[in-house]
This record gives sequence, structure tokens and C-alpha cells, in this order.
Amino acid sequence: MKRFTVIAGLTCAGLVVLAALLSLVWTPFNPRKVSGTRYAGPGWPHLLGTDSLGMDTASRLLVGAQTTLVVGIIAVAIAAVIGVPLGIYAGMGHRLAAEIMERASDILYALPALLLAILLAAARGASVGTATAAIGIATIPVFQRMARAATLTVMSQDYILAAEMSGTKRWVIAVRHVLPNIAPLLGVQAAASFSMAILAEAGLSYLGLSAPSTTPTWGRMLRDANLYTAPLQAIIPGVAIALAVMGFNLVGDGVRDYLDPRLKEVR
Amino acid sequence: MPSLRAAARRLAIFVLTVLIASLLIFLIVQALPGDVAQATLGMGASHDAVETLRAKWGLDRPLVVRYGEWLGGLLHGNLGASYATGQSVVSQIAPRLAVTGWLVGLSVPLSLVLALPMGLLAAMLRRRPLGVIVNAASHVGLAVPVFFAGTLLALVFAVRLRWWPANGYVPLRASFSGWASHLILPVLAIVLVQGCFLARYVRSGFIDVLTEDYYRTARAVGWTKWRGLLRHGVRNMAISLVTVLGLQMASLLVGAILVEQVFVLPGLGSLLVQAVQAHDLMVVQGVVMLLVLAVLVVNVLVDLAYVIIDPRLRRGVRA
Repeated sequence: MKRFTVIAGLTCAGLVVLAALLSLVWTPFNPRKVSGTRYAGPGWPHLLGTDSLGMDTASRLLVGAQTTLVVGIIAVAIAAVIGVPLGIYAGMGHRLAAEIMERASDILYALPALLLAILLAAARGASVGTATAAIGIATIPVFQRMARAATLTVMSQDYILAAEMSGTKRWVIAVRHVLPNIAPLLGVQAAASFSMAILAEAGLSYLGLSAPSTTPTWGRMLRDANLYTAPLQAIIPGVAIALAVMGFNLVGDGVRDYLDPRLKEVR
Repeated sequence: MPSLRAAARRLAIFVLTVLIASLLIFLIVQALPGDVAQATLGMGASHDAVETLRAKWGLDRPLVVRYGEWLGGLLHGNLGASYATGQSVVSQIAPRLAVTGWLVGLSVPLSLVLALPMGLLAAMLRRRPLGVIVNAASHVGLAVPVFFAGTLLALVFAVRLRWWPANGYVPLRASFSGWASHLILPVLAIVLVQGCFLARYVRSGFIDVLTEDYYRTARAVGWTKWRGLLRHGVRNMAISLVTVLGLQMASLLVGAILVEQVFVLPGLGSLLVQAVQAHDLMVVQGVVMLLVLAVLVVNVLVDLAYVIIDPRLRRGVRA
């Protein structure tokens, strides 16, 4: 059962990655040009039909995978690069810093990615950049709390005491001892955050707060679909988003179980 | 009175958090490089025209003065005037408050109504097919974006079956049946997604209870599985559920904003999206502040709820 879900997750996530890579070198039609009649049904040559302007849905779906992955990767990277050092710092016994970060996290939890993106878009105009930054910043507390909790357990180990006794500098301990030991947990967190980032990006592009209308994104494809004339054009990108999110979720769960059998959910 | 001191401390933290949040919102909107006046008039606008507009909106004054004015107004329930229309922001928010309020207010209890039996079933029958199916369903529900859930519901119940309308809103005062029929699909979309999310916590909460000594004792003295779980499980699980519900408040509001867009409901979310497109900073600032305030207030209520649910926390509460 567990094995089945991991394989299913890897398949879904792998398909998204493949789609993105494939679209870099080849798409059936130009995803940004009209290539057929409007609202054509699925068939040949338009495998998944065409949208309200007559652009090929299959091609746009493939290219949409690019935005999904790029935004996800950069947003998670922003969150990890800022959140992990902060978390380690707070976890290594800086009480005041920990308290301040805890309060800051409370504020950021009340200001989710979507609201941050709206603020940024109001000030600067909506773009992939503002969307990515918003998702990344909103995810910082997740990594910070995770890294802090993990650091606290590592810091109680004897080898840390030994390192401190032998006069190893604090930052050397952080980099040499703490970071490698909390890395697996961070990896699991990254997978989970990645699927959350995909979900957030889809929501932002659905609201028109992400990539410009010339860039095909799954969220925008869903929004632009006409439910009365061509409902399939809404279902296709929606299913793509759900499969991508579920894929990375399942992969994250699988990695977690592999790394730490004690955390297994099915007991 | 340790609990009184704890409450005072919690309140002080709340006030400070609100202040910092307001500063953060103000700075993101007003202090980032990028000129609203320029953006509104377009890149081709003359320098003079831009300067005139800046002066008209008061953008030529120092940031500190503008923040002080906004914060002062905030304390009096005044959120300033819209750049685009000149109307007060509060008067634009007021008629829309009810829509978003109903959406969120109905979704929270209903998602619990869905999550509790779902989680209980998944926990009790976790080694049987039905439990596995329920668990898998909640996994799938977790991955479906709320706007896609809304779109699917609209497709089935509005476009195909024509049971309920796909868009629009009727106030409760005008007609109850109109109000209910316009809200049922949007609320259902949020409830399905949130319910699946919460069900996972309910499930693991109940599984935790199954391994506790008091549950084993209850079983040993002859209680049935279900009675043991319902008598002991619900209260013990309620703590983690309330925590999650507090953390989910922000995502519930996000869900409401997205669902308003799907069903073209005239709520705060659609106001926000319109204001962003019109570069109407005062409206954006005001609505976001209101939403953040709502989340922070819920967090305070969650902390209070702990004490009510768990009597062990009543003595010597330290926030």
C-alpha cells in the first residue's frame, strides 16, 4: 500500500517534470498563437482541444508546467535560504531571537501568500516575480519553525557538547554538525512546501496575480475556460494542478516514511 | 491571579502584533519602489501630470506622516478614501462584509461537521477498505484547489443540473431562498477542501487516543470502542483541532477570496482583486488590514479556547 502511493506520487510528479522539460524543446503547436477553430473538442491534431481563442490546449498545458515548477522551486528556495539559518540561530540558544522570530512568524501566518501577493501586486503590478516572492516569504516561518525544532533536538546531543568543549566556534558547529543532521527533515519539508507553493501559484494565476496573460499558466487556463460551451477546458488544467500537488505530497510522505519509520502515519 | 496576568500578556502581544502588521502592510504597499501615480496614468504620462496626481492623493508627503494618518484613522474605524473613486474605503467594504462573513462563518462549522465523522471513520476502520478509502479521499481533497472544486460544483449543479445558480448573490434580507441558493455551492466548495484537510488531523488525533492508557482502561472495564472514543477522544482531539483551525483561518479567508471569484460573489475578495487592478492602494491596504485583523483575533480566541477545552491548563496558565 505504502509502496503503491509512493509510486503513484513519483509518477504524477515525474509527469509534470517531463512535461516541463518536453515543452522546452517541443510542443504540438505554438502555445501562444491561434492554431485552430475556437473550442475544438479533443481529437486530431488538437489532442486536448482548443481554448476560447483557438489556441492548442495540450501545448499550453505542457508550457504551463514550466511556470508551475519554476515558481515552486524558487519560492521554496527563498523560504529555505532565509528560514533555515534563522531557525538554526534561534534553536542554538538565542532566547530573545527565538522570541522575536516566533512573533514575526505569527504575523506572517496571518498574512498568507495570497494577501502578500495582492499587496505586492498593488504596489508594483502583478508578475511572476511578485507571486514567487510572496509565496517564498509566506513560507519562511514554516522552515524557520521546523529548523528551530530540529536544531533543539540536535543541540542536546553529546557530540555538540564535545564540540563546544573543544572550543569549536558556534558557526562551525552550526554548519558542520547541526545542518547535516537536520537536512533530511528539511528535505521532507521542502517537498511538502513545494506542493503548497504549486497550489498557491495556481490560485494567484487564477486571480490574474501571477504571470501576464501572454504566458500560459494552469490557473489562468482554468479561469478563462467557458463552463457552458467547453467545460473540458476547465477540467483539464484543474486536474493537472491537482495531480501535481498530490504527486509532490505523496513523494514527501514517502521520503518521510523512508527516513524515519517512527513517523509512519499508518500504525 | 496568574491567569489574569497571562490574559493581560496575551492582550499586549496581540496589540503589538496588530501594530507591526499594520506597519508591514503599509510599508509593502506604500514604500516599495514603484510609483502608483505613474502606474495609473501609464508610462507615457507627462511628469507634471504625475506630480499633480501625487499631490492630489497626498503621496508627496513623508511616509511617517502618511502612516500616522492611516493608523490614526484605523483606530477610529476610518480607512481613508479610495484613490480611484474618492469614496471612503469603509463605505466600500461595508456592503461586502456580509458576503465574505457568511461564506467563512458557514464554512467553519460545516467543515467540522464533515471532518469529524470522516476522521473518526478513517481512524476506527484504518485497516479496513472503507477507512482506507476515506483516507484516500481526504488525500485527494487536499490536492484539489478550492477554485477547481468550486468550478466542478458549478459545472455539475449549476450548468448541468441547473439546481442552483452559478453566480451572483442575494442578500439574506431580500430573500432567504435566494440567499441560500446563491451561497450553497461556494460554501460547499470551501467545506469540501477544508473538511478533507481537517479530517486528516481528526484521524491522527483519534489514532493517538487509541494508544492512550485511559482508553485502554475504558476498554478494559467494558466500554465499547465507539463509546471510549467518543467520551475520551473528542475532548482530547479538540485541542489539536482548535489549533489547526486557528492556523487554517488565514487559508479559509484565501479560500473565500478565490471562491468569490469563481461564483462572482460581491465580497471582500472581489473588491480586493478589482482594487489591485485599479492600483487603488487605500482599498487594498484597508481590506488586507481587516482580513489580517480577523485572523489575529481568531488566534486570540483559539488561545482562550484551550483553557475552556482543557481544564488542566486552567491552573497556572502561562501564555
